[in-house]
Amino acid sequence: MNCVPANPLLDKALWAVMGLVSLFLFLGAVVLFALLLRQKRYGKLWAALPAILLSYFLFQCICTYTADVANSSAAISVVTWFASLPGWLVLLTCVLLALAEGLLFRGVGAYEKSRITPLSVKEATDSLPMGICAYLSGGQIVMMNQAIADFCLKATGNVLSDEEAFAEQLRSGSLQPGCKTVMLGETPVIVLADDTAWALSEEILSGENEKTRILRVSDITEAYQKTLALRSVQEKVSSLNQQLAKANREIVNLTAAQEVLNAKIKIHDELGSSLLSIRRYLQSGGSEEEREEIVGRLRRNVTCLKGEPEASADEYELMTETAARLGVEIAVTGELPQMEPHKRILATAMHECLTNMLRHADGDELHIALTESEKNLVAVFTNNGKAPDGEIREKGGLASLRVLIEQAGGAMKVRSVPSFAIQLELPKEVENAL
Amino acid sequence: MPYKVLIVDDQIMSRQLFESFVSASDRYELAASVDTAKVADIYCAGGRIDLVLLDVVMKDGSNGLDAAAQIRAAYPKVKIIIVTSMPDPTFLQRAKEIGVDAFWYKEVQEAPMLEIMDRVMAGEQIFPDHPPVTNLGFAKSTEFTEREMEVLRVLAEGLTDKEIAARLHLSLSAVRYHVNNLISKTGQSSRTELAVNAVRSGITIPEVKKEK
Repeated sequence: MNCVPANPLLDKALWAVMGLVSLFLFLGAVVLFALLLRQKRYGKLWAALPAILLSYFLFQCICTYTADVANSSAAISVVTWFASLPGWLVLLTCVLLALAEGLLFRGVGAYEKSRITPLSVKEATDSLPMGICAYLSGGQIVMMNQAIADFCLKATGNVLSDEEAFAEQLRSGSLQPGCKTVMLGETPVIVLADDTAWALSEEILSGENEKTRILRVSDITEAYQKTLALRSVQEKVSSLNQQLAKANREIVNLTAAQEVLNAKIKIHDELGSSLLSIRRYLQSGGSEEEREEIVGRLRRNVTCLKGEPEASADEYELMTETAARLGVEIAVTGELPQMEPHKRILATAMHECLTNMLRHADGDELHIALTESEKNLVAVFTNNGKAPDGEIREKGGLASLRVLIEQAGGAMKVRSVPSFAIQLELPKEVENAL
Repeated sequence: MPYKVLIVDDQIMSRQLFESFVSASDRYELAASVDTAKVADIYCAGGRIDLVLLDVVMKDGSNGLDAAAQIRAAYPKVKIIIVTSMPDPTFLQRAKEIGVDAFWYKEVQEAPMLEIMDRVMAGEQIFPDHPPVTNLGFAKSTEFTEREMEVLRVLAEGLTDKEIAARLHLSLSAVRYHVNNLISKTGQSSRTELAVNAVRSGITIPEVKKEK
């Protein structure tokens, strides 16, 4: 080499340094190759491979040359060729190799940072405030984060290893003391012993071969507490509203009572006035007409002051009394039902038949025949009035009656010839929600 | 031939008052006097009734306006006079919608009852210009808007703001706005006090609902 220093000792030292550099370059290229292999970036291997070969060739040449150990003619010729190269060229080759490896290392580092690996996914999910667990059918867990692992431990006392076993534990309610399951709308919520509330939700991700399910637990403590507070307020409001409605019903009665009282006060005043009239009549000796008028007024006032007769609350009695006042007899065979809603339906039917008979048939007897089977109650309404002129068209009251009966699960038949009749069939068991 | 009159009123005092009006005139004859509106149409069907005097609010839950609607539909020739002591303006409004012949406030007698009956039988329709003015707190009943009256009526039934909004097809904020307006107009301390006093004053009667 023509640029080698004249001092042989210095020459050897420089070549030893160069050998060391080429060794490092070689080792760097090997590491680079291994990293690229791990990253499965096979295209870049073509860049690392020349660096390995070149650095190894340099290292071998420098070692052979400095140690003077070439023992074959081929080796001697190579070393001779190498020795004839200018020193700056070897140096430049090393620098270029170092630069190339540096660039490749930088690329490997950048790729490592930008690549999503299972570990990076795990790290990311661990930083989530919600618990998340991916599992396959059968409960085999694919991935879970720290939050759901902590949740599982607090809720069940076990480490989360089988999602389906965990879900079964939640469903059966075998939780740690102080924990409970509640429903918030349609969402199941687990309240832990530390009063934190967690909402559970599940999602199915369809893969190519099998379905992966995602279980999520979200901390909804604040929302849960506010919901509880809201429910409490709503219950209070509901209770107050019921009281208000009750109070208002009372007020109507009180208003009516007040009206009666006012009228009684008026009659009291009128009584006073009547007494004065009596006194005047007795003192002055009034006429017969005047006496009759005073007696009539007194009678009316005393009747009113005797108070209100209790109103008849029974629907059947009301219908029978009304019919009797109108000269109609209601004849019942069998037993009228006393339970609701049968009673209300039968009373409505009586009302309708009575009205229709008075209006169209001019009869004075309404017959009601009641029979019972195992499941049904049958009532047939007929009258002694004239038969309808033609087919009866159901409208108004009859149509409403049919709706009422059908709502109760019953049936109604209307007969027009040879005489009018209505047959009602009601199931004995009817929800009293009509 | 005297007109046959049916009296429907749950208060014996009022019934006797009307009976005395009827018996005092030879132009009228008492057909029946009953304390419930449930059977009013039956009397009309069988009693050849010419005139019905109908109270609105009955103790047994029936109401004269529903009965009036039934009678008007089935017996259009029967004359109907609504009589009430309740100043709820919806009674008057609904009576007009039903097509009754007259409306008479028991407490505010603009004309004698017999005169009203005579004019009705002569084919006249008689309605007061407005319901009697009553006070609810600091406000007179005439000071409320139609919408406020609607809200007040439903409020008196004990419904929550949300339920009122659903019933009246209003937004929740609109209901709150009207309730606050009512509270501020009347000077009531709360919605409960407002509802109780509204019923007490007779401005609204929660039990009487329109027949669907």
